[in-house]
Amino acid sequence: MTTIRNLMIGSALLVAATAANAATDYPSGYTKCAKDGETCSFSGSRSVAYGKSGSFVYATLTGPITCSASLFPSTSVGSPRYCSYSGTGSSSSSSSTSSSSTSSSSSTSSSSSSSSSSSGGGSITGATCSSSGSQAISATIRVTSGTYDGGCKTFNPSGDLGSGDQEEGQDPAFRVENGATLRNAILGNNGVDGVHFYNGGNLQNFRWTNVGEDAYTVKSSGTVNISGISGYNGEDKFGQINAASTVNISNCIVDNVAKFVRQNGGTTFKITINADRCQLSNLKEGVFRSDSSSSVAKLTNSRLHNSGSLCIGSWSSCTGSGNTNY
Amino acid sequence: MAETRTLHSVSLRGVSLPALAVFVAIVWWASRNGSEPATDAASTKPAPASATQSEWPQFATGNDESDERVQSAQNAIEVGPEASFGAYVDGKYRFLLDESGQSPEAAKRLRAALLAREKIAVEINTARQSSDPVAKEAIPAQLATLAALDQKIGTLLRSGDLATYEVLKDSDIEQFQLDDYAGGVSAIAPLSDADRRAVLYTKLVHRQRFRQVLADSGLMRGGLDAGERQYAFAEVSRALRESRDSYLQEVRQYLYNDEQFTLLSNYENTEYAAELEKLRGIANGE
Repeated sequence: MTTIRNLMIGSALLVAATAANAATDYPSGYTKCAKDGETCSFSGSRSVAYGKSGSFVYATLTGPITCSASLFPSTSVGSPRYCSYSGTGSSSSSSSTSSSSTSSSSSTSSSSSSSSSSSGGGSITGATCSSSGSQAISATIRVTSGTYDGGCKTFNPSGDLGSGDQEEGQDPAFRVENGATLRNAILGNNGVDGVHFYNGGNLQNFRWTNVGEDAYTVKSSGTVNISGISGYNGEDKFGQINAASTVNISNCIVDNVAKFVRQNGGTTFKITINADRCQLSNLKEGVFRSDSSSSVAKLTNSRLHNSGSLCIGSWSSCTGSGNTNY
Repeated sequence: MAETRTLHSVSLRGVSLPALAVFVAIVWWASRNGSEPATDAASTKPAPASATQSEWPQFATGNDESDERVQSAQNAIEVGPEASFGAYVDGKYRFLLDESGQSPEAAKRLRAALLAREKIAVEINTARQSSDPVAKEAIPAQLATLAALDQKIGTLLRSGDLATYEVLKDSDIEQFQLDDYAGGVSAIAPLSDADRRAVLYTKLVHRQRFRQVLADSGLMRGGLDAGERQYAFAEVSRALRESRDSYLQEVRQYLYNDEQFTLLSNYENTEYAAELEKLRGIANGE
């Protein structure tokens, strides 16, 4: 009986160890798809990781592909290596290579771009939409998969969505879920509770005319990618993080709020914030605030004016580099 | 000016007849009853020219390698990444496979050929993005195999499905965009399968001319000087704009829900702007 019990425990441990090891063969937020020589089936252009055991190199590739070292920067990681792809894709139309461009009537140039890091570049523009019209909304717009393109309209919440003041518990104008993408929209003067993220998502080219309760809130764990945003005039925090998650922000302009990012007060889970190329001005308290000694924040290549402290509260790591004051 | 007329007229000649053929085929295809059971379709339609009665020994158009690839695909056990790849191929050709109206055996052969075709397409796609010169050297031979497989597939299809296949085989990007757009509106104004099919086919038909102009322009092949690139860009950008405009104009009639159409227009306009910028970058030698 004891032998059987020991065998069962041993088997369970073996399974657990195998699972733990497998989990390191692809980065967080990536989907493992193939090992060397196998077909990795994904559509569109995506960030693809190659490696194993927590060591990876990356390339932006158009799928599907055969998992192969020649697609990536060189790596010394031993074989077998695995390919995995990010949750967010782009169509990368005429300049891409894909099976759709194998015919003679289609394009032939490669869209492959390899990199071993993800640091950004370019200027700080924030959101670039000029309003193309307005649209009243009386209920939260849910983006549950794919891409919702607002066409640079100004969305004006009304009715049950809330007044846009600092009252907690207001509904959001948009709810982005499960890696979906919201792009090209302006939130009007009634900012209500902005944008909520559930299980990760993407926000591109978005402007808050008048930040209400919060500009955005991460409600459940996942990876949130935010780029090309502008937000103005909030009494409290701009971003609120309520669950263990990674938030990547690039090319943002934020003015006249209390804090740029706030981890929910008193929580100890880990959040990771990477903010790159942001212009932050008139922050009444500071940039990052957390009470968790496991959380990590980084601000790079940004412009700061009257921005208070970079790091407030407890952090495992909170750093800045390449930032200038103006 | 003379050059402009030449490129334009060549493009029109090169595109108009295939586009017309595709359009007629799609009208025929769209007029079929989408909910018609496959078995009924098989029993009521006239005997196909080749597809359902084709046998492998009848293939006279292929080569040994393509034959082996198809046979290998037919015998393959799909697990792990191969199962994912099979699902990818099934998704890409779902509008063809769902309504092929073929016997199970013929449908199995067709699917195996499609798997083999997509496998070589993946190899080409990989080689093009690879830094390995040996992989790039293999591309011409792979393209020949791809052409042979396309011919084989043509023999397995009912005659009316050939045009459908011709537009679907190069539709990865458009299908990705359709799924992306449809996902984005799924919680607000969901598309039916018929809506999706109408949007996809309309777009593919209208993209044909742009693709032809792009290929004729030489812009993507390199080798043009700066002036030639700008000239090519002017032609290509005009074709791209016309493709988008005519597509949106036609697809309007299929989407009864205004919100669906508005959001589709938003989506397509963003994709158009992004594609135009990429082309402009190429024209500027970036």
